Amino acid sequence: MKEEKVVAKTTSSRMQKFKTWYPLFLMMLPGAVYIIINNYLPMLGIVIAFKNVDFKKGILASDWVGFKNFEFLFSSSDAFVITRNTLLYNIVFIILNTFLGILFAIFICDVTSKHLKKLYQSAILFPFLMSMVIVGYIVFAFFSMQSGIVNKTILPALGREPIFWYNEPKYWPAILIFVNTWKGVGYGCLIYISAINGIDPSLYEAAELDGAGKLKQILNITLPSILPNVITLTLLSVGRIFYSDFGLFYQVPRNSGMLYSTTNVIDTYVYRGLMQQNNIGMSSAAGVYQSLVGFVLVLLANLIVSKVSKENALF
Amino acid sequence: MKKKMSKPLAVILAAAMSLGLLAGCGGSGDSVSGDTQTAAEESSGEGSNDSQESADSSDMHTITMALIGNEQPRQEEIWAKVNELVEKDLNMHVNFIVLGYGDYINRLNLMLSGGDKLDILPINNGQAGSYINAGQIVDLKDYIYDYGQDIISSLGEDIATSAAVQGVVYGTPPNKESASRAGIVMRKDIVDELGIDVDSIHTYDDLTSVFEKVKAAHPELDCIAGTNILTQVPTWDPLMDQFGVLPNDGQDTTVVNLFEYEDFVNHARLVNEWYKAGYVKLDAATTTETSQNLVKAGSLFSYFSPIKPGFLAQENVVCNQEMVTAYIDKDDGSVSNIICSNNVNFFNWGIAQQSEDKVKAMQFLNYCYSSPEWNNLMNFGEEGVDYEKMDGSDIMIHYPEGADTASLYHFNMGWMLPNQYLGYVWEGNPEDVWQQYQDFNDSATYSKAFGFFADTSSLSTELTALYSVYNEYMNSVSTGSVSDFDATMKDFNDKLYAAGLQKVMDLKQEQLDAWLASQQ
Repeated sequence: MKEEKVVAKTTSSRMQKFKTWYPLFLMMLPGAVYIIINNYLPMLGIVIAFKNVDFKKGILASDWVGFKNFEFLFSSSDAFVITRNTLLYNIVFIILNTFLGILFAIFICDVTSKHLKKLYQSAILFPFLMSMVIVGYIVFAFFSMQSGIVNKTILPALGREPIFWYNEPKYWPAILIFVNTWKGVGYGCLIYISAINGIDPSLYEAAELDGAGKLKQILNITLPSILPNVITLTLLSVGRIFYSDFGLFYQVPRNSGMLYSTTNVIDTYVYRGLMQQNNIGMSSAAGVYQSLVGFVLVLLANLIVSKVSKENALF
Repeated sequence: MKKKMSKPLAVILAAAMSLGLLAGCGGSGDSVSGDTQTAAEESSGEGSNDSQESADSSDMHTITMALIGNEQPRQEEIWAKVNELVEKDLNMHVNFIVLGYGDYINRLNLMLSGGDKLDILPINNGQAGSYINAGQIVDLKDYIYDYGQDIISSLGEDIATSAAVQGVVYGTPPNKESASRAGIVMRKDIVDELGIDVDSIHTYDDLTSVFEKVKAAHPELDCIAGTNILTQVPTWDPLMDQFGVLPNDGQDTTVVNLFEYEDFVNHARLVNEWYKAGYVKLDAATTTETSQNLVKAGSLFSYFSPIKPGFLAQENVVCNQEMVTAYIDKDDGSVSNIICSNNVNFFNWGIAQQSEDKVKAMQFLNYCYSSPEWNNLMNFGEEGVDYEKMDGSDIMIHYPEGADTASLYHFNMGWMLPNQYLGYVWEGNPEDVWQQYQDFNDSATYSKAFGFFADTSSLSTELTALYSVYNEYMNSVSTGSVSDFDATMKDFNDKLYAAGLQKVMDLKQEQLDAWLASQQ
């Protein structure tokens, strides 16, 4: 008897909740439908990674092959190189882009002229909007062995021999990191600028009254205030740490074979290896592997964040 | 209690706000999405046109055929004419999909995987194995004898069924010159200026002195470029993918590693010397510009190319100046002209698994091999508008006098369309060009493995690794752009073997032996 009552009560309170909030549920509906159709249904495609797809039989009826599709990612001698490159580059990118993004955001927010502020903001964002193909050609204009600015003008002016840039792997970590930072820093910067603009100005006024200098204000007001944004953005990038910017690693080194030891990453390896083979099983396997590792890393990173400061964790 | 209630509200509000933010961010993208919208409307407009047409002929079966080439001005008009013809002769309707040369493999893969409407498609022999393996294309053996008689009579049964992997005939080759005699194409003005004796050029070694002269007189010019310097004059049968080849014009039946094969290594060493001497374009390994465009831009002297009858007529136009050619042969001076499965069956016309009526598709393909009108319309467009007959000839054609050639239909993919031998001959070619092609084919050396296709799909893990190594080294080796040749070749081969080259070679050998035994 008692139980029944409880059940009745909860359902009725649920109904009541629904009645109270139903306009909001309605508002949520399009988004939820979109997410289910666009993000969740395609996940069923994961089965492709474990099958030898035969279009005569259809995807579901194709034979299961276990982890055979995954073997190519680990079997070759390149496995170590591509994993190392992907991870190290992404770690450097995350650190540099966060640091420089915040730095530039603070600088730009302190510019008093409205016009100049707009100008700097747009200028720093501009490379982000450029296609990697174009960036690849800009880099080529600098480093072309035959007609590049560096080999034709800069090095002779310094009295140095020209360098075969596209044959020498050792220069490319520096070039790629520079290009990625030049191109990517504007995006993070924009988000941090809006975060800084959202800080209550009275905090700064109070700090000034108390005699705090600029540096103190930054350390004690600006940085703590934008910390949640920093953590969110970093967690997002950590989740994609096993992915790499295909354009950066494919277009910018102009697919030069001699540079693979420092420019080959998981995405370019998969692209080059599978372009010739039309094996969707192996391509999906690579995707599943990347997202799985990314998922685990996000959970881990979030766990660490929640251990350090609970209120800043994502979930 | 109240506080708790407000949490979902906050979440939903936040979601709504961030959506709003996103919408705000999209402001700059509005014009773009507007464009795509109109593009979509336009294309849907075209689509509805098509469907109207097919509705008019609703009792007719519609064939969808994919082609490789460039979109042409006036192609809608020409295709309408093609349809008049096909409706009259076959009582069928045909839709064409033109794929660009750069991305046709990806787009075909998508169409085959996605189950788009598609009946007839061009199959690059490198893709055939995976298509067959995935069951994406039809075994033509079941249809060609009943519905493809004209294909067999125009190609001969051997060649018509030569595109086979492990007994599955996946396509029929177009009727074209198949032998691969190749050579060097040079700028005529410089050859004349320096008094270079073109007739004395026969081998790779002969080129060294030519380049030396050119470099001395024109230091601003690159003597040669392109990643095909080594592979354009093959003295081996590549057995599809170069991982394990048959040496000596395919006359030896022992599979060897190309990258340790004497001919290849010697030539690679020579090209490396050229590179060090400054003859090869410094950026050759990474340049994405075609050699013809480099010649046109005035920065390149020569390049390797397959040379066939009527070749210069086409090349002078592409390079925008007069060129001369010399065949490059084997080092001992004997003619290098090999036919292997690869060059006969570079492209083949196959039928997609999703074709609704495979018999009708085969009948249509058969028609394409037998109708001169179809081949002429597809290749050159409409007579009197896109081309006209040259004075006093029934077979030679050219652009109409004074026409704006950029606005005319000129598909010009005769080497790929099913049967160009039935059609007209474009200005600049010899009048008996089809006969010359035939003789050219007849004079070639047939590889012992002609008609053999290895099925290496069971080794896809190894092949992925092999392709990765190949991509890493091949362009640099092909253009000579390596600093220490012997060390690089050693690394290259070590990595290939580590990636499983021996396994692939063994499998090829095993299948080849079985195939050779079955041929006797």
